[in-house]
Amino acid sequence: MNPITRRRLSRFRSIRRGYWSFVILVGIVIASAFAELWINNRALIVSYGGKLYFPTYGSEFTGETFGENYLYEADYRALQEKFAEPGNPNWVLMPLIPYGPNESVYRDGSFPPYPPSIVREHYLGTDPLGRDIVARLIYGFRIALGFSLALMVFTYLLAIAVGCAMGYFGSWVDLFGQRLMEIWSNIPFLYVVIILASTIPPNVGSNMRIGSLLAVMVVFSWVGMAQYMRTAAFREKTRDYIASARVVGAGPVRIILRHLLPNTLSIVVTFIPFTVAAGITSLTALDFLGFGIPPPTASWGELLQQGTQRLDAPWIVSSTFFGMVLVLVLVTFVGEAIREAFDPKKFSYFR
Amino acid sequence: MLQKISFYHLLRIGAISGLIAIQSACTSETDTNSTADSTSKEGLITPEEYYAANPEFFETASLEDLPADLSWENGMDQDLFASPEAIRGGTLRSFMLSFPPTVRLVGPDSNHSFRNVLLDDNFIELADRHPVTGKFYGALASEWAISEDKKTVYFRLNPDVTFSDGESVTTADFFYLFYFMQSPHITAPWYNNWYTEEYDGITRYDELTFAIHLSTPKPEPMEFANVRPVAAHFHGTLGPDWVMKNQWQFEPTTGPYELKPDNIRTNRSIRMTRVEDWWGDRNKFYKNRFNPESKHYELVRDINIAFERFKKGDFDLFGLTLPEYWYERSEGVDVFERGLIRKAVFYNQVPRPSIGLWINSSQPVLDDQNIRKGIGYAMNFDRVINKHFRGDFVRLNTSSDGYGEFSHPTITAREYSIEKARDYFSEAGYTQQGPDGILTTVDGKRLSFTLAVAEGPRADVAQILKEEARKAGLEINILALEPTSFFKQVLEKQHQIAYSGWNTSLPYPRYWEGFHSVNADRPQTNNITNTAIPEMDILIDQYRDSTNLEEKMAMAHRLEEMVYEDAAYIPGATVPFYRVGFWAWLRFPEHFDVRLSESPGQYGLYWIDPELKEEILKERKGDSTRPNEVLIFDEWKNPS
Repeated sequence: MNPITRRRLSRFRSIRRGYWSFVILVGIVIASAFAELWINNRALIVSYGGKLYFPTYGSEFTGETFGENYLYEADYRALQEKFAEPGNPNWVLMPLIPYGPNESVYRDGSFPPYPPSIVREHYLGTDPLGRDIVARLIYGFRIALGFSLALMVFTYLLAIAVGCAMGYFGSWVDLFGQRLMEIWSNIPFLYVVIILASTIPPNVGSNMRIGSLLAVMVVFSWVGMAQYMRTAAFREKTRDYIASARVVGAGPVRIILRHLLPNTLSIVVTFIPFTVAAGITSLTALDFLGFGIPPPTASWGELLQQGTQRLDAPWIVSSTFFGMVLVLVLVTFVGEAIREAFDPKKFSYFR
Repeated sequence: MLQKISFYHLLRIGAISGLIAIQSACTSETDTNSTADSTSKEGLITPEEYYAANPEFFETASLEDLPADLSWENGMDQDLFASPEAIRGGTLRSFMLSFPPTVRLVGPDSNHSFRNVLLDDNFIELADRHPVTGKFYGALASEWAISEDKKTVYFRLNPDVTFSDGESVTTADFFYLFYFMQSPHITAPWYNNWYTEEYDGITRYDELTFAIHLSTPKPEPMEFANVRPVAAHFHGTLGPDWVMKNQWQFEPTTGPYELKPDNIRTNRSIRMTRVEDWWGDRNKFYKNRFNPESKHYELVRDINIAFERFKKGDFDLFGLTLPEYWYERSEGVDVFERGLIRKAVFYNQVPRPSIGLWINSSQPVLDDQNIRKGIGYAMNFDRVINKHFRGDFVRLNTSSDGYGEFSHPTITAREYSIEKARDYFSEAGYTQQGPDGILTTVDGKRLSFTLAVAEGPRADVAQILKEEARKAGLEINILALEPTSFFKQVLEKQHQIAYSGWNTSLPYPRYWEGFHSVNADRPQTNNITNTAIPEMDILIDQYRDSTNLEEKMAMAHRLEEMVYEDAAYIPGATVPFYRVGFWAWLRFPEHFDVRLSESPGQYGLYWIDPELKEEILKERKGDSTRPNEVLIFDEWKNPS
């Protein structure tokens, strides 16, 4: 690690608000990555007939495995109750929140949405279909974040490639690229999404659907970043170190990758948190309008939609709202800190 | 940087795209108009020219030609159903969730959700169906007679009847109906087809006497011959500009309410006003109905806001059929508890829309009857009804429930049964269970289908069905589409399974549209199961031609058995009632409503009690209470 990067990182660490936001955010991300272990309707461990079972990951165990008379996946909450009877040697260890994100739970005599309840282990209540809000929030966050990260990676790859090429080669490449970007940025994004949503054949699985949504969003969001990269490449290319590299005989690919990119990286790094936040909001907005992730996959947009429809069940909309505010605020704090830490006016150095 | 898409951004784009859509619609319209214009530039065909050019359709005869042995009926001996206590006056205040795109009654965009206020629940036809007995009584026609061959109906108009602009309704307006409905200028292909195919012609005997000829004999010819007049003096000669010119013109009506141009406030409100000295007030069955002097509909785009404003007293009534409104959202609410707003549930008896799952039987795997039966047993509608709809809804049993004797008496929908479903699936070769709990064939093909559904409440139901179907080893992928693209996909038969339904209408179930092979594997027909069974075709054809009610009924039952056996239609859930909340100053007849009514406004039986209104408005600020128990009218509830 070169000394300047080390200084930037220590500067970042010294910005306490940003640093702690980062720590919390990473904590949430890790927790959501392993959501199956603490929010799930599958048990963590089942001890049955002297044997231990770990149903969380992998293929499902049918009810027959545990001595029930059904062939579908075991109902672990029911098993837990049954095994808890005195004298039964078997036991079930359920996760902290024993509900799956797509599981409708109905209680006898009353109807969802159920308000938050510690006894029922619905800590933020349920949605109108009886699904646990915490489960849907966390699983929804995981999908939104994963989606948003993938979106960022692909967008940046495309944007950096196009932007650097335009800036470095200049002349007609730049001219042509600029016109292309002007035209491209005038194509209405929402239209394309709507058309896409209505033309995908019915038999396509939900992963393909999410994939195509991702592709469309990548294709429509690289322009802004490419502009920045183009400007940066333009500026850097006139510097002496690039000229020296050229004189030594380095080819354009080597120059761009080895010399130009590392010196423009602070721009990229600064934008990352904001891009991720924008990705999450875009997906939520699309879900809210019904063009996003297909049901029953958990999503924040769907939660918001349900919440605004059911203002009599304020826990739906408020949980989602606060969840979203929390994540966006954290991301913004991190972003600010990064921007400050990587500010070229503070430490600058040319290779 | 990634373009940040905020809600507002998206909304703005939405608004703009909406505008563009409207604009492009307009341009395409003017385009078609201009082409039509160039072909008929010289002279548009006047009604008289049209009648002369089609003498076999538009016949003229004299009164002597009227068959002598006709038995005239008027249905006036039936019981009254409106309340004699009704008080005329006041304004009914209500809302609409979207503003109608036009107030024309036919043509592009006219089939909107406000249409029933403008047309269906307002316009009066030659005769009207008594909403309790289901038999006709004279409306515009003072009497009618049906020919021996059940192909022709003779009408005598009531000379007292006028349009809302004061002009008398005469035979000419019925001649004009066919000129109008057959004209390409109204841009309504369905009407063009219906009024050309279903009718053989119209014969004029005098100003007030005429006969309508049907193209085929019908067991109940009145159902088809009962039409509405179109005001000849208002529309005149139709031209290519008719659609645009009449966009915001409400044509003269025979009904109790008219819409004057001043009362259309675009994107804000619509006010229907009572026709002055309406002819119906002198008719036995229209007396004491349509009591408010005017009906005011305000545009409120969000149902939640509409409900809040209803509780505030801005609107007189609000539909509470959805469980969430009937229960949580009104229970414990002050205005409801104090009895200022009453809640009523009214059980009706109408043909139920055939809502359910329609399996496309020409898709691979789904062409296997065992698979279809298995799916039928794997759909847990019981849970949907008991948990999601709180036991208020009922399961449909056939594709034609609610037709009285025409509905099959014994068939019940396949119940949820994991064992039976798995038996049928294994019979079709799905014998293994994969690691994810889904059944597969020996060579690893998974039992997985896509269920297409329109976004909204039905997508919720689909999610419950999906979770429950997994227990039978069946995977359901939900494809929730925006309603228009959903219907497009289904009508183009690209779905595997669709959660949908058809509106049904009296007097008897129809099978040709939905189950005849001529409509299978063709886009834009109602046979969305692609059912093509030769024996069924034969029976459907016989059924259509049959004019004997007994025989027809037997055939309907046989056809329904075939539908059950084919198992491509899985009956869903329906409501046997409507529920409504209304401010207590709104008053209803003793029986509340009539058997065939689907909404409190449909037959216009309520009235506003001015004294009570004043009283309640005064009381509202205090904390006094009135009777507040839920009103239940289960006179027409099915015993089942």
